[in-house]
Amino acid sequence: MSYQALYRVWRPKQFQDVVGQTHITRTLQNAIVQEKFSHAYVFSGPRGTGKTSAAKIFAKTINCEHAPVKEPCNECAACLGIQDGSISDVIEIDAASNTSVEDIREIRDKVKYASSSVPYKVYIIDEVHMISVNAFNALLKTLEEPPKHVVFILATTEPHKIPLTILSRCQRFDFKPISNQTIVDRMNTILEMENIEVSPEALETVALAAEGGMRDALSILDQAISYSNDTVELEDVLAVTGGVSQQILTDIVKVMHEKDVQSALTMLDKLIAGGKDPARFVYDLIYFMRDLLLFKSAPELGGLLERARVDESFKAITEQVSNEWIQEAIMELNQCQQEIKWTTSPKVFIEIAIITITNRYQKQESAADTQDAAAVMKLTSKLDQLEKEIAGLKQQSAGNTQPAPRREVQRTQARSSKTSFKVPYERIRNVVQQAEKNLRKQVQGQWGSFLSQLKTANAPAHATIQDSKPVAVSEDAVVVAFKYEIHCSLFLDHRQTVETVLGSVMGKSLTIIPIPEQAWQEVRTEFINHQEQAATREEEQKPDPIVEQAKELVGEDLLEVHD
Amino acid sequence: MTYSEIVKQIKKQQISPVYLVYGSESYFIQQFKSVITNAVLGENKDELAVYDLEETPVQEVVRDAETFPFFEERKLIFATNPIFLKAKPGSLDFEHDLAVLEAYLDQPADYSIIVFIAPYDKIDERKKISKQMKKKASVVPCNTIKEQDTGKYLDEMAVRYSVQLDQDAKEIMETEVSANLHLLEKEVEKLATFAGKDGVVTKEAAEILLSHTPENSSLRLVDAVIDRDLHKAISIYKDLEKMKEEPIALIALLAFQFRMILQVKLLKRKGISQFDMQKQLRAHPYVIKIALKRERRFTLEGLHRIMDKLAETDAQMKQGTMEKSLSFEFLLYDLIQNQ
Repeated sequence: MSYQALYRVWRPKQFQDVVGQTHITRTLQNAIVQEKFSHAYVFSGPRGTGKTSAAKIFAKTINCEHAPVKEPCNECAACLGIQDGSISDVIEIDAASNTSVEDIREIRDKVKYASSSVPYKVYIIDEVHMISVNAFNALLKTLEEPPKHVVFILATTEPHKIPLTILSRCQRFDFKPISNQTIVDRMNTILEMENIEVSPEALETVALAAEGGMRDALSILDQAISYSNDTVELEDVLAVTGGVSQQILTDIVKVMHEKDVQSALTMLDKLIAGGKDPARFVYDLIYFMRDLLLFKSAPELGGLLERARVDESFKAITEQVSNEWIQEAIMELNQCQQEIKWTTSPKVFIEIAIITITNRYQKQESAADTQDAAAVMKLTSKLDQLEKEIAGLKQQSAGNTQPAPRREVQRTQARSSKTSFKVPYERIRNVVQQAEKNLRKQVQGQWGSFLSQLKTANAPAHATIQDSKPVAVSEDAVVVAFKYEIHCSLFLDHRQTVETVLGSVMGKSLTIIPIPEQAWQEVRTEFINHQEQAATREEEQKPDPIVEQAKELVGEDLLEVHD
Repeated sequence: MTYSEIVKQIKKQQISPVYLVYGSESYFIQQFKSVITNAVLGENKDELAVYDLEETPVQEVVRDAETFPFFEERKLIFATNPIFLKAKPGSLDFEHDLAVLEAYLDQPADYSIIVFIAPYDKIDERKKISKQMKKKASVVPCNTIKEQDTGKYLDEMAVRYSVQLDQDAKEIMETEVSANLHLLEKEVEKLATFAGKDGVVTKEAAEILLSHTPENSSLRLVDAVIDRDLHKAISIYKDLEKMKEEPIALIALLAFQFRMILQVKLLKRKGISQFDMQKQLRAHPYVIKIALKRERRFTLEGLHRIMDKLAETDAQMKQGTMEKSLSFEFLLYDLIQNQ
């Protein structure tokens, strides 16, 4: 006979074999014995916790020839038939591959017919969360009022994907992840029957790696057994899972904490030379540290640890290290884990991480030197003082400028700073004369995209111009009003870049003439006044077009113009 | 008349010829159906007819009601979805002849019982037919129950399944299962089978057997964080992780809770009443109440720090700089240890 994997050989055949779920098996057994079982069940829980097994056992028990019983006899024709799948009244459907409405409709149509060889028809729908929404709705009607002889068992790992309308019609059981101790016990019974020797540490490590799934545990165990010679030792399991033994993790944390860089690095070297995957090692180390941290803050967390077994050396090390140290170490290792992804020589990064973790506290101690701290304090207080002074000065100057007449301000500023800006009134007037409204609209429309392009091209240039707006545009020049004078002069430094970007956005080259907003207002009012005058003058001079036409038609001589 | 009064009457064989069952709590509707079927027909279901008024015109139903029963003395007719009672009935490919129904309501046959089942929140009371119905038929309201009434129904179910619920167990059930009566009943049934006849459901049994919906678990997670119970918080998170709950979603959930607490705290400082808070925050009154209770345990700075921390972790996860579950565990650790 071909070899059968352990988890298949030892698939539970009775409720009592479904370990770690006593609350569920007891409820189901009570229901069966009292003949009060529901017509629909939802079994939910992570993989390897016994959902499908429980469903099959349930099907056997209610159909057993000796029913009502607490356990299936596994001897009668019904039990055996269901076990090997030859009885067509117990239907196991893999919903992952039968997801459509048609598949469910088929069930719905066949549900009506009475069972052929056993009292109850049992539909076990595995991975039920995979069926489509429509299929769920099709199922709903059947679940609502099923015939008496039908029991539905829906098994799923993701109960939240099942609509509430379905859930509320079923009795729901949550299968819990199996505790490590239970897994170990179960493995012990199996190993006893199989006559294989496994060391206790090895079993515990298997249980940790299984993360609460019995099937995972047995698979790992299976592999470890094939890998080992006579008895399965810790090393065999670690070789299969690719893990690092807790002893090494504990040691490495210990030497790092004791600032013994040399031994830490040698240990790492040995590990990697021994063929461990560096990334996996970092991962293990991170989770080991996490376990340390959790155990330190809540010792009752025993069952929630992911990597560590609580033993003497583990407890010893939790007492040595501080929370902060672990937290920082984890951050460092996490950083290292990120970097490893992008490198071909992970070992270097791990070494660096180990050195940083080991040396960290020394650095901090030196940083916290009292003399330095005092000096820093002094400096910051001085800075504060200076800042206040500057703010005061600013306020003063701001208060001065506003009421003062414009020209005077310009003069004073021209004297006070070299970068002061002189407004090219002549050129601006020129542009304003030639300005056209639709040109300005065009530029204003593109202004936003111009700014964003400028930002990517040259951020400082963008910073100088971002608070400004184009106010007048002619064919070849743009007048840009800046809020403050200082920006005008700052802008001149970036003029070329800005102009090229603007040119590329607008599709033609434009000269930018900066002007402070205040000055612009003046120019504007001046221009408008000017224009109004011009307009009135023009109107006076310009002859009436009708009169002109009339002149052309009939000649000047015959005309008499009345106003 | 309330639902329970009508049920009592039916059990005493005081049966009206026409019932109008309406409301959106399908639990009551189903219960009513079984109660009336048992009262009218007993074991024999030959004279039970079920019509869907979205497929069959009402005049046909009335005609059936006016026909003598064949096998029994009385016949029972369920007519679901009477859309002509709705404010906006959808279009059908046939017409309901409401005059026939009105005439029947005036003179119902004494050998037939019609039950109109309207699983709608509201029926249009202004319509003539609705008024007639309300006047002539026994109206059975089946509205969804309020959160605070859950306990009452729980007691009633416990009696029905002949099981005793511990005070603690009851509390757990009330908070876990919320106001979905279908679910509640299934849970009671489950606990009852676990405990056996006349058994007592203890807190432990309830804790281990009750199904957790992700929403409820997430809320418990928030509670655990607020109670600063690291053990509980991590184990709930582990459960949620096994159910493939997304850590980022959990962060959003935590953020929602803490944000609510922060908002309530700020509003309370301004001296705003609970009712006005409810209006301003557009939140459920119960949420506000709970937030008010919790608000006292946090300082403003503490809440700010928590929000910052949540945002930070969220960014961390989304940028992928740290493994999601590890990152979340650290968040829990940080929230609980450094408060």
